[in-house]
Amino acid sequence: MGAVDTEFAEAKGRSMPSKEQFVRVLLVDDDEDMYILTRQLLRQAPGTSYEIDWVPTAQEALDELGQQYDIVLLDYVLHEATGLEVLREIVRKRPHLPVIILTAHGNREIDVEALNAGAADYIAKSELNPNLLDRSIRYALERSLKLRELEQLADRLQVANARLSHKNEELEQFIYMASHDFREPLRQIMSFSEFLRRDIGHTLSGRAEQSLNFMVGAAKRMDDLVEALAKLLRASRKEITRVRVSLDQCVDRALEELTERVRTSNATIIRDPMPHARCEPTSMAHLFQNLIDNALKYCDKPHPEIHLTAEKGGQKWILGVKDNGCGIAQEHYNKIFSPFRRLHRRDQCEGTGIGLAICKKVVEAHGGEIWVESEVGKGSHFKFTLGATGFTTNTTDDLEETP
Amino acid sequence: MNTPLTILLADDDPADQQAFRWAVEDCGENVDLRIVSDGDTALRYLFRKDIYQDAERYPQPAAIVIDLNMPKVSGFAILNSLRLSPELNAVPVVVMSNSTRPSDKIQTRGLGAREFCLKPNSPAEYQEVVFFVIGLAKHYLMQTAKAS
Repeated sequence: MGAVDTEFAEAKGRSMPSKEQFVRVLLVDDDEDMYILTRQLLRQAPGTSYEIDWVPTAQEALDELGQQYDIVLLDYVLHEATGLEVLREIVRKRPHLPVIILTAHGNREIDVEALNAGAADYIAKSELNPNLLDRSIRYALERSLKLRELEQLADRLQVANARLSHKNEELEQFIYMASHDFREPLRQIMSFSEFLRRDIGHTLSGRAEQSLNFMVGAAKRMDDLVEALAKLLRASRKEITRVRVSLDQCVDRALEELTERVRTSNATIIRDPMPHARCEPTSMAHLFQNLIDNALKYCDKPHPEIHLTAEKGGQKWILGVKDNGCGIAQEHYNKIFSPFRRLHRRDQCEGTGIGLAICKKVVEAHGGEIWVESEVGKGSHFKFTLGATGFTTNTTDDLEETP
Repeated sequence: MNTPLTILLADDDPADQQAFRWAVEDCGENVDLRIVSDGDTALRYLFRKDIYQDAERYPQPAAIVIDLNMPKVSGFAILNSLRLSPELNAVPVVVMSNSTRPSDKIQTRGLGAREFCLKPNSPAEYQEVVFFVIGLAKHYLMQTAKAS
């Protein structure tokens, strides 16, 4: 690309489309000699073609801003106002227009002041030469372009963020609706079936009685499913607040909730000492509770043995719940963590098929992984990690720390 | 025969109205159950507006049961109006809602509701609510009799 004569460029006017572009420069300086010099320098600039306009006063400069200039060269000392005031005004009016300050004498104070006020660069007039000026302008333009791209990116991010938080609100509303409005008709079906049973139950034939039972059972199951769905949705959108706790306490809480089930199922619980972790204690207790409950539910032995495991591998802990139950075939390893997938017939095992899906959400929310190792007939070992920030180096520290 | 206990139920769900009505019918007490389907009508009844001016035909309830989410005027608004009324602020109000928001429970209690209960799931649960409300109504009548 060769140098294009500026006169030619001026003749073509500013409306020229922007591909083989000229850089349009506005020089603000009360000294006409400076204009002549700058024009001369820019004409000698290698590579880039410049088109330069000149205004001698700050007022004219501000008036000219409506026009499409790519860059402003601003004399630091104008007669009626200092360059800094004009600079601030330009930055206010056209935040994306780069301004290079020209001064008679180099002065570090002015330099710093100018940069703080938003100048793109600062050149002492005594040092001006075609290469320096050309480079300063090109760098300023490039920075301004990058800045604009960055701002556009930030804008897009803001829009995306707003959309996301709107979606989140919608989801929250949906969850509330699911857990209330959807269950309302089911509650009524169950309720009125009971009224029906009470009012005409004694006259019902065996088949009619069975039909009624199936209706109530179906409504109850639908109610459970809707509740499970709401739980799952809530678990998947939950943001966790990590607190440093002893996982033993979480296990305590889980076992407390399951006291009755452990007792009636004649199970033995073996507990490895658990480490401290940075996690959300309530979710963690639920996680253990779900896994232990699962182990009890799918145990075909008269004497279930459940081992709560904690193995340390380097800085990371792998925690787990191991059982001596029926085990899981390898082809089901992934399936069991999907919501509403059940491996057992409903008459064999109750449940909505949501437990492990929620476990997965909880672990993922902590940045960890959950998986199963199993042997059919012998038992399963569910294992999980808590992510990079799940464990701190000092695991003997008993203090709880706020996030 | 003693005079019936007047109870006002404000609930926009016809099924819930019916279930409550049956539970009242089955309770073995002499109850005059009045049912309105929105909050606006509830307020007009309670504050004797329009057709409800006639106290003989529309007796003042000795207990009120309200749903929270109703068309036009919410249960919260009813509670607030009752709270600010010198004549009615002693009438016991029970909120019967399917809301599980803790804030709803706290707020309704703050507005003077005597009890916040989830909508019943079975005839037996409806029966419990009805007996509880009747108990409150009787107590209220006793207190007002003493006062006068």
